[in-house]
Amino acid sequence: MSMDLVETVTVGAGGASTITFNSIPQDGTDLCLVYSFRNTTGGNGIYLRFNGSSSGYAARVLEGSGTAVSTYLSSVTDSGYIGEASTFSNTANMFTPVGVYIPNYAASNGKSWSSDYVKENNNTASYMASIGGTWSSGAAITSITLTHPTGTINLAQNSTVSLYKITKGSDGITSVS
Amino acid sequence: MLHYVPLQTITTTSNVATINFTSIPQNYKDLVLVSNYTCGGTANQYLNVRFNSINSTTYGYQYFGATTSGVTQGQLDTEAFMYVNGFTAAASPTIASSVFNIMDYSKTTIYKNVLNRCSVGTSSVELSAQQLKTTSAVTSINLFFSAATGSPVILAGSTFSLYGIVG
Repeated sequence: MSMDLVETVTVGAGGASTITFNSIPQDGTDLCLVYSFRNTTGGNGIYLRFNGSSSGYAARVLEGSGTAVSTYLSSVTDSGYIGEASTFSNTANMFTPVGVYIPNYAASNGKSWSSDYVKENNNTASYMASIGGTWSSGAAITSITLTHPTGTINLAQNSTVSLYKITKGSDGITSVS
Repeated sequence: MLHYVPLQTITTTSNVATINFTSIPQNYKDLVLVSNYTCGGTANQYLNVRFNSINSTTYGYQYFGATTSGVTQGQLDTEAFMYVNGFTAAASPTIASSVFNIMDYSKTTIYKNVLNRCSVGTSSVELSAQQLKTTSAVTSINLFFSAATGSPVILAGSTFSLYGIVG
């Protein structure tokens, strides 16, 4: 098994404004984050910070709103935009699912991620997006914090996020050149 | 959750123009190729894919993406390759990433379908569905540049990982 669960966090009563994965193992090739979030406050964007760093992030967003498609660069550079969370004004009990893929996380060159989300609001509005982002640091990723740069989120109880590690290896058959 | 089995990973230790995976085992349901790389050269090029060295107009793809110029989409149906990604010029090397899912790669009764999600820094993000219109099982994968213009290369430190997905 080479796609291993590193840790799952389920938000308890009272909510959470940040979630941090610390001491991430360094023996993998890629990381995968899967979350299902709902926010009890107005802000709904979800951002990440690697190793607690607050610089060097950028992201391009391809978004469909149900009536139009658009693209834009995230205006936030002190953390990386990865997707949305359902808000308190959205349909009750709806949580927004997001998948984030972070290749080559332990390497000494710059890092990247790609993510997809779908945010549904009982047919009155729905968004889906694909995001490509970069972090310019050459440091290996040892921690990931999910938050909002202005601290305006409070993740609802039963929001969950799981971190998976994908390990490199060789089957002894496939050749590469 | 998918069961990934690592088949082979390469981290380039020097600049190279091609990456080849050969002798791919046939006992998995799907393949996943994860690319994370930077490119050098003097002109914008795309990193392309051929299966089994098939060099004929039997590839096609539909794409939907965004660049600095806006949203784009299209379809090409008689191509000589698929593609992993595009890249920016060597003057400002940018990280390019791709997660390239190859479905039912070993079946000999159907054409081969690929779902690709890729990005190049913040200059592009794209989703695509691609096809190879042959029933041959995929036994090798070749990554290459479509044109020699600008002498494009994959820079040292880039990583390419091939996984088998258990059905």
